[in-house]
Amino acid sequence: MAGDRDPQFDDDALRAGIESSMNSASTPKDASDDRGPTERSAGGDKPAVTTFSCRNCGASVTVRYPGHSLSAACESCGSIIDTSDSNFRILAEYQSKLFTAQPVIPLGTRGKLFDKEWECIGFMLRTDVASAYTWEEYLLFNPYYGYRFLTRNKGHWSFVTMLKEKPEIVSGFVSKHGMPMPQAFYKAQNYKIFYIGRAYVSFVLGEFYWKVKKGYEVDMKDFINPPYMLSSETDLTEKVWSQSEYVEPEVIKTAFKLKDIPPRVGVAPNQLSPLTKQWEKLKQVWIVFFIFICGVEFVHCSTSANVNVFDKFYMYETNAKAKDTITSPVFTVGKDVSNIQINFHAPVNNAWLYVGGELVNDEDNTTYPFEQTVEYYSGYDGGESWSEGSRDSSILISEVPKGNYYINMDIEEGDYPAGYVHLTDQFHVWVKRDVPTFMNFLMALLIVSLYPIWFFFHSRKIEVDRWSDSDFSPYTSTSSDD
Amino acid sequence: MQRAYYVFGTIVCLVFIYSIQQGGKFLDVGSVTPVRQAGVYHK
Repeated sequence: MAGDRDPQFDDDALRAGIESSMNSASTPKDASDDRGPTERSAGGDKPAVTTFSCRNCGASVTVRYPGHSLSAACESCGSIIDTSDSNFRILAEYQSKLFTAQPVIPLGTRGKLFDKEWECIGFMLRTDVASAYTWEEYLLFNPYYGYRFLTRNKGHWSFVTMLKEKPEIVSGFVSKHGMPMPQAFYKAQNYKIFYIGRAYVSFVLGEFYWKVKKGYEVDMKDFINPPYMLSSETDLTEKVWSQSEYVEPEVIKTAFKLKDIPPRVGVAPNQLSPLTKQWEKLKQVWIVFFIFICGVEFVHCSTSANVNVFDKFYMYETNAKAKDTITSPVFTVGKDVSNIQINFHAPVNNAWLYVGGELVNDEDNTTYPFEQTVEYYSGYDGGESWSEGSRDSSILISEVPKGNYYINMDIEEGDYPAGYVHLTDQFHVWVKRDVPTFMNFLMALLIVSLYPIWFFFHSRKIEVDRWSDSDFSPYTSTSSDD
Repeated sequence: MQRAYYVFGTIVCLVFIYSIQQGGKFLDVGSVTPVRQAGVYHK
């Protein structure tokens, strides 16, 4: 932006006349071949388009808004001319013919943006001094509303308005890498620092309301809060602020009736992430799912009976080298459909106890076969004690209808020391019904969270891309700073 | 995609409720398949 040249366009006296000028200034190519400065009046005393000859190459130069524009670039030789000077003196002789640029929006084109009609009257390239990265700026004019800018950066467009108020700058924040991170506050919004650098005007076309100079340098700072960006431009005499709002390329294409528009690349600093709104909705729905699942689990746990329906100790012989078959007494399961948890405890030490069994319905002989092993090993190795396994084991059987049941169990054991022949030990069996369960709860939570988790990281990637061109990226790792 | 997630999440919630009604069917139980058979050992 032409930061030091806030137009302060509030000249009511000019509006009526200039409105006519807006209507009469048709195309930039309708200028005559007159050698001297001429004025084409749309009628009466209304301001008119001015055409004069370039003092460098002789080509005709058209000024659409004389009285407002203080400089214009000759489209033929690129010389920049002082249009406020009666002799149209040359401000800058000519621009390099090796370096030319074609504006995406042709000068003189009108388009309706934000419910107002704007005419594109100037075009310039700005280049970052450090990186030589270049972006485009278009000067728009409307006699009622003054000047605005459009910027095009990697195919991303922003509509720029100069600010009369100065945003507040806070410089106390320091990043995790020790870099100072100033922030800007404007209209109750916080803007993060994105760019600090120096830029110069590298190419000029059209007319401008200030005496534009190729090579003119300013210090720049950009602060972002998508879809807005605050920019400050500082030269030796003043500092000017502007606010840009991101505009979708399709909006520009439609507004200015452009046939084609270069595609955008990457994520713009002030581009509103398309996922931000979706994420807000998704987060709300995910919270509903989360609360629902947790609520169901809470009710399930608090209403589960979790009661013992059978509890008994059995003796077995160690190193028996034969199966002991045990049948439990009949017990009653008293709920329509319930789960049954069969638990075992055996005082094994460096040994194992295997139970191959079945839960049997005493009335219709429906069986629920199961296998369980209780094993526990421990020792002392290399100065450290160790252990593995457990003396407790359990199995859960779901969908067990109410009725009378018993358990058949085949017992085997092993790894007992040779001296344990014909010794007896006891193991404990107890059965619970209606036991609260957790795995389905955790899995349900995980499944409903997978998409939001993916969405979150996808959204984060967009932010990483957005900040990839910034020296102030909060996503830069410490190692990459090295 | 978002609508698909709403439908999918609702299905997960319904399946979760069903699993609780069935006493922890699916993940909380081993692969115990009830078998109806004659001549089960009875003491």
